[in-house]
Amino acid sequence: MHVVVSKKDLSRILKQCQGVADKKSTMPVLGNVLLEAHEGEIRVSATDLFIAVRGAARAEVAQPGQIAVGARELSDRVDKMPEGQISITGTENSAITIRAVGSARRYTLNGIPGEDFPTLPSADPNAVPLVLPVSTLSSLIQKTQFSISQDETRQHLNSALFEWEGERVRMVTTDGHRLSKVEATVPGKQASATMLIPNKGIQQLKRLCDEALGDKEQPELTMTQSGPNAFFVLGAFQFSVKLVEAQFPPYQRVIPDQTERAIRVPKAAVQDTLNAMLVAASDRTSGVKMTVTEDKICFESENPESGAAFDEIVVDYRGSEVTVGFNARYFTDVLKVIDQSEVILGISGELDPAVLRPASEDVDHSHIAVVMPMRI
Amino acid sequence: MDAFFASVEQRDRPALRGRPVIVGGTGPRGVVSAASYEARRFGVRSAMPGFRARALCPEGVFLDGDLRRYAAVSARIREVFGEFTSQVEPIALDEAFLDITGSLGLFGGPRALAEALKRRVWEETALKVSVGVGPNKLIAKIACTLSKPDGLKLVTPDEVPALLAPLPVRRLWGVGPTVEAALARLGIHTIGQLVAYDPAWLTRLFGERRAASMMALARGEDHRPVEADQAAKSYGEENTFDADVSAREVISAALTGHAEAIAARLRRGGVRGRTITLRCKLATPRGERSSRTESGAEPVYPLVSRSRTLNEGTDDDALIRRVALALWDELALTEPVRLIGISVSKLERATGEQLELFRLRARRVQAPSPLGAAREASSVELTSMESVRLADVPSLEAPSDTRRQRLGGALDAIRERYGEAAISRAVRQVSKASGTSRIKAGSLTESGSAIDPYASESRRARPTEGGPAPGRVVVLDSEDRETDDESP
Repeated sequence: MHVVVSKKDLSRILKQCQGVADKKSTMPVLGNVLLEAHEGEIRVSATDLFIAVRGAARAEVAQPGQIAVGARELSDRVDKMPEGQISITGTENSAITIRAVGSARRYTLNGIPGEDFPTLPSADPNAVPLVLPVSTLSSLIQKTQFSISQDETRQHLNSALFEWEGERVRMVTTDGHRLSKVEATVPGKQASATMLIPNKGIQQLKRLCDEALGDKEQPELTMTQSGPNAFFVLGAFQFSVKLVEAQFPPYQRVIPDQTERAIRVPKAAVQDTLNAMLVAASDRTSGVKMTVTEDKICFESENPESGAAFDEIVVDYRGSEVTVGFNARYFTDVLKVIDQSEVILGISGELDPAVLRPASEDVDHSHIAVVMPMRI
Repeated sequence: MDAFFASVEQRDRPALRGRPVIVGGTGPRGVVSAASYEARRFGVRSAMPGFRARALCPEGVFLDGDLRRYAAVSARIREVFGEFTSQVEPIALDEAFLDITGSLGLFGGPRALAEALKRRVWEETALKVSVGVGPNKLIAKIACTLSKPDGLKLVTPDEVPALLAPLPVRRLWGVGPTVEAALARLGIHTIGQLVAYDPAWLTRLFGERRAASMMALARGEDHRPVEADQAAKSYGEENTFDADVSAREVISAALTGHAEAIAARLRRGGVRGRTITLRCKLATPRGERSSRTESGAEPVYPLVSRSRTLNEGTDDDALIRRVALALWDELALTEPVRLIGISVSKLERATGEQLELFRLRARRVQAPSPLGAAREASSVELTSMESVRLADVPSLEAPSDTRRQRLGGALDAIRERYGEAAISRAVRQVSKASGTSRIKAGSLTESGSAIDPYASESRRARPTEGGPAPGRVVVLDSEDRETDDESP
């Protein structure tokens, strides 16, 4: 194998692959990336057997071939090369020599034969690809990612539900205490799909979306569901993820149709107040007490060891008073991803779910977050 | 209290008076929890293995004991203590420290107070108590021990050196068999010898902190306050098996019982624990050590423990059991165990509890499928006793968050009303040689391996559990169905 590629292109691909290659895996081969050079491009692949990513870049291929080398090791060496072109030559005994074109600096790096690298899954050629703007998927992920359960033993919650219904795409995530649901319209793109994408896949998809968005004006991606996997093509990258085979909880039932109170609140002020209350709240629970009363919402937090905090903000509200305890971080997480200055806060009783949504809903986007209270 | 459990038995069963009564040690591996003074004349001591006690005292009356009755008596005694000071630090069911600094004037001095205390306990319970009065906990405890039975001993600060000097070093807190042996090699056997020894040498041997605290205690200095109203720091349950065990199913059954008992106590105390520790005593002894309670050596069984800290506190027996069993699997022991136990620590108040989104509403039992119906039915199935419907159990009235919590509350309520044995999980009942149930209060060290000066005294026998008794209710366990929380 002998290939010459620009350092910039190669580092970009390696960065994405490094997020997937798993050095700590019980299968040492998974700590590698597979380098393949042929037909004017170099392809770099990484997989942990659940997700797989492959990036390609234009390259001068003097001699085609393939080899697998440590992902981290290759990336560290490429980083240290001067800007410009890099040449990678396969040597005997499955090693490579990395040279900077026009510089004396070079590395040799031992690897393993390319054939030893696992074969990446591929989509059924007859499966129908769906096309979606990258910005849409990116926004769905960004607004829901934080409420994915971090508990890897609960697979059905450690994942995001992606649904495509008619012209509507939807992403829903929950950790059992709170839930996020975001919908968007993709005009003229009718489809039907349901997939449960594991958290790790969502994280990688987000990185790939960010990469693609930085690249082009209005990029689009294709997604294909085939067998147990979903396949995505974003710009120079192909990505596949093994979908979770489990039942996502019946989320529709826990989103209240309406709440006893719906109060329009200024987002920045609530964020600021909650952050101030958090300083004094218990680290473990992040509990903040909210009292909705005539014309204001009072906030309180306390920590038996250190003391207490109090604040209030003025709102337009007339009605009965209610006091509810919440994990304030559940609120700030939502407020951070709402890109409007006003938010509707829906509260019923002290044991009922609260709802947060942007104040003005447009037809093409809808966003709702549900947060369960804390017993106080 | 003097020979507390045995005294309660003799008080309640006149036929036993004057006879050697031994509580505990009935099973092949049980340990003596209490021995009446008649039994002590034969050499029987608490914490002694049952077989040895039987050999020493063949005509002794060996009883399983009734911890609930003893606890009730203990509560009564504690109320009496409360008449003398609010500063009461309970150590065990039959032992407490009282700080009487503030109430001396009311009772006319320490001796008058101690006499009144003895009289009041006798009036209320017809039991004898020994009282030691001293300038601190260490001296009070030693004075009390020396005064038994039915004693009263006052030690003034001036008398402390003379009192301590002839006593064996073992009487000091923190001096166990290992330290005792190390001191013996230096020729130190009594507290007096320890006080006279060169502190520099002790420091070299035991390190600065340990040597300093040992020397201070030897001089009779003890600054630990009497800590009243201490919150429990951990809850533990353990049992010694009649025969060594390595079968996972037996371990699992034992852990189920322990987890249930701990969870019930956590719920009663309104707390949740984050750290779950599994303790095992291996069946193969490694070496011997001099016995605490009698002459001669006893085998040393290595203790193995492993713990896990959860993100959130729990009072759910299914979760405690699951974690404990996972810890057992992680240990992957290659030899059988003679004892297994669980303790739950890092306790926190059960307030600030995050509610669940996908909870099941208590009243809406609309089974979507036959399977669902079966599940609902399995949560509380009552047979062969008056029918108690879910809705009749008071603790289910309040909104609760998961079915497990409701189940726990329901079980508590049933046990409260019909007794501990009324309902249990459908697992094999393990025959236990001795069970220990303890609450550790006060300063708990981070590693579960704290030297507990009262470990032997807090060991209490529980009635040996047999197979399901008639009229007993069995709850089918649904804990391993992971999807329960989310099922519609």
